[in-house]
Amino acid sequence: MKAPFATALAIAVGLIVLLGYFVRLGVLASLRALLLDWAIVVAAVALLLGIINLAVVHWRKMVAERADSVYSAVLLAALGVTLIVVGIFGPAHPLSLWLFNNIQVPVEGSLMAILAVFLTVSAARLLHRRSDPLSIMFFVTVVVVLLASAPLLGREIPGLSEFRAWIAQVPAVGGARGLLLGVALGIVATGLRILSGADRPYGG
Amino acid sequence: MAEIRCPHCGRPNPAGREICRFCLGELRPSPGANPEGTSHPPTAAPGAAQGEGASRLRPAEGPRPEEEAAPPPEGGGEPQEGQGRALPEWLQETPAGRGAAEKEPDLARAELPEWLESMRPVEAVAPQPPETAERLEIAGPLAGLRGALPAEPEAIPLQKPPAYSGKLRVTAAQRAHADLLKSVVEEEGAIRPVPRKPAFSPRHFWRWGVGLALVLAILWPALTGSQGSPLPAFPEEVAEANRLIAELPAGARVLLAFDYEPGLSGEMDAAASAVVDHLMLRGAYLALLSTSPTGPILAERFLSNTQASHGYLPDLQYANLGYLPGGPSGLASFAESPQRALPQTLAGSPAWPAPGQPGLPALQGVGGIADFDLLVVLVDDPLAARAWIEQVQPRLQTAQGQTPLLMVASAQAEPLVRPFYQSSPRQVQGLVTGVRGGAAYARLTGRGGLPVEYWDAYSAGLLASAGMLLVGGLASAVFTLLPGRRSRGGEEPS
Repeated sequence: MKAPFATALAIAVGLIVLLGYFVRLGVLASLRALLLDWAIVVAAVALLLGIINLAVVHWRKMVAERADSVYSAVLLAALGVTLIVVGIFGPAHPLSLWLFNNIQVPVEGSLMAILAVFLTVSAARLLHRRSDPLSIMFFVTVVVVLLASAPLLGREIPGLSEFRAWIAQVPAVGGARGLLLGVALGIVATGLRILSGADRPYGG
Repeated sequence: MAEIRCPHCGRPNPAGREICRFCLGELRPSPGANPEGTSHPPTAAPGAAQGEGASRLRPAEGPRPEEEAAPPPEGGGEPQEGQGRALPEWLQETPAGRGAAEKEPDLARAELPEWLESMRPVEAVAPQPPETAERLEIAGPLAGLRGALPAEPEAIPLQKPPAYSGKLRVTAAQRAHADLLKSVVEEEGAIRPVPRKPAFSPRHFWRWGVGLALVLAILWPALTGSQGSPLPAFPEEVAEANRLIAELPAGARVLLAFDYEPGLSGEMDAAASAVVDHLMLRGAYLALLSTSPTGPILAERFLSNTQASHGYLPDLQYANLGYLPGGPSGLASFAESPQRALPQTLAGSPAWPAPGQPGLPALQGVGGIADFDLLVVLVDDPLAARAWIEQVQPRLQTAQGQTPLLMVASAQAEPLVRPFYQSSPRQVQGLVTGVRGGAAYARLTGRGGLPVEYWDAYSAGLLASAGMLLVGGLASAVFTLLPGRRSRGGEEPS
């Protein structure tokens, strides 16, 4: 074991937080709340470090004068302008909102729009790529759900909405329940491994 | 240098010596021995291994059993060495021949002096160990030991080291393979011009066509000004959400979480618009927060863009508590103690009531998360929805009752959120999903708003997508089933 102190600390913190869910003890609850508060602070600092790292990486790219340096310059300029505007006027100021509404929302919305086009093209070519029964079933399900999600030329097709609801509430929910159960079991197993010290993602 | 080999131990001795320097045996060839004994040590005869010298020292006994048992040679053939062979007459007449032919049965055992006894050859007095492949040391301080490393010069073969040629000898086939590998490696490092793709291939045409068709379909209702599509019927979960909001008391405190990204704000704004509109109609005080860094400003944008008609004022009708870092841990901390997790508003003013400060109206009377009258989570990510349900929902149950949890989710998160709504007891008490859910909620409340404005364009876009999928799917199926194309096994069309 490389770092026994870190391992012992991680196991102790995990046990305290876990026991806080089951044992109603004042000291334990206070300690658990304190540790969770620390988690918030650490996560916020990590976000700050991520921003600094992003700025440093793109600064180096820009200084290196590579072919794609202009993108790094745009990113650094946007970061600087946003920091200055939001830092001076606050995040709810109309100027800050203008930046957000006219830069970030359109850029991310455009990406989603392109995704819609590419998904449509890919789905249309699916049967050309693979024409096995599962692909055909997937294709038919997509078409039915799309047609049933909105009225066709102003008219509802009888039974189509009910069929869509059945797909969304029976097969989809069944698969989702299985997925959630698998995720829960995986989380329990991972938690037990970390609590027992068998798994040390913190490098101990 | 001439040498003579000892007939007893087989070791070489300088010519002229009479006594072996190794075993002290006589080097003179004994009568009847192999006359070529200088080059071939006597071997293989029973009793002969100890040599003539040892045989002379052997006590007088009768003939050895093997000698007695040895049958006489038949047919006048050559007698074997060591067997009692008949000497020729001319040799029997000599004294040596007579001595060899006639054994002296009463030969007394020789008494050796002590100094001579100690010099006897080792193998003559050492017990015979079982035959092994190991070498017996017969000289030096290790005499008598088996398995010792030989120290004699002859044990180390001295020979001229072989000379190896520095030239690689390869066959023609190996040379051809090496040349091929070299050419492949060199081609990898060479800069090759990228083949110029055609400006307009069928694939490009197909992509641009799909994009244009979608854009035209979505723009068509806006260009024509038609509002012909009926709003969808409201499902049970939407009706439940509507009932929960309708039953809120006057001046209710509602926690509203904005957990979606700007890229999905088009869908989420439309889905949540009617719900938040209903909340504001009920006069609810809103406490806003987000576990996404862009969430707080998205909340401000949402209120100013879609709910400006209500005229809600910050820090009066609503309090923006800002960003809650930490993911699930942050949510657990917030559920444990909201005042400690988010003590201030986005503008930096104290949010919660405390001694000496009244706190904001939206948070009056709220000591814990269960003191809110309703929790509404606007979420586009199934994992974020699950974190809210797992970390916060259990804290909403108190002895006085349970604060309901209502979710407005994107269509992509619906399959993973719906199981929590369909569970028993319900972990999510109301659910509105996607633009369709928002439009259904707007139909329930009878008010317009974003989902109603979007509905026709949304319907046209979905219809166009489904139509293109059908056409493309049928074309692909026909293309695949063509006999000439089918044999290619799914090869890309040009």
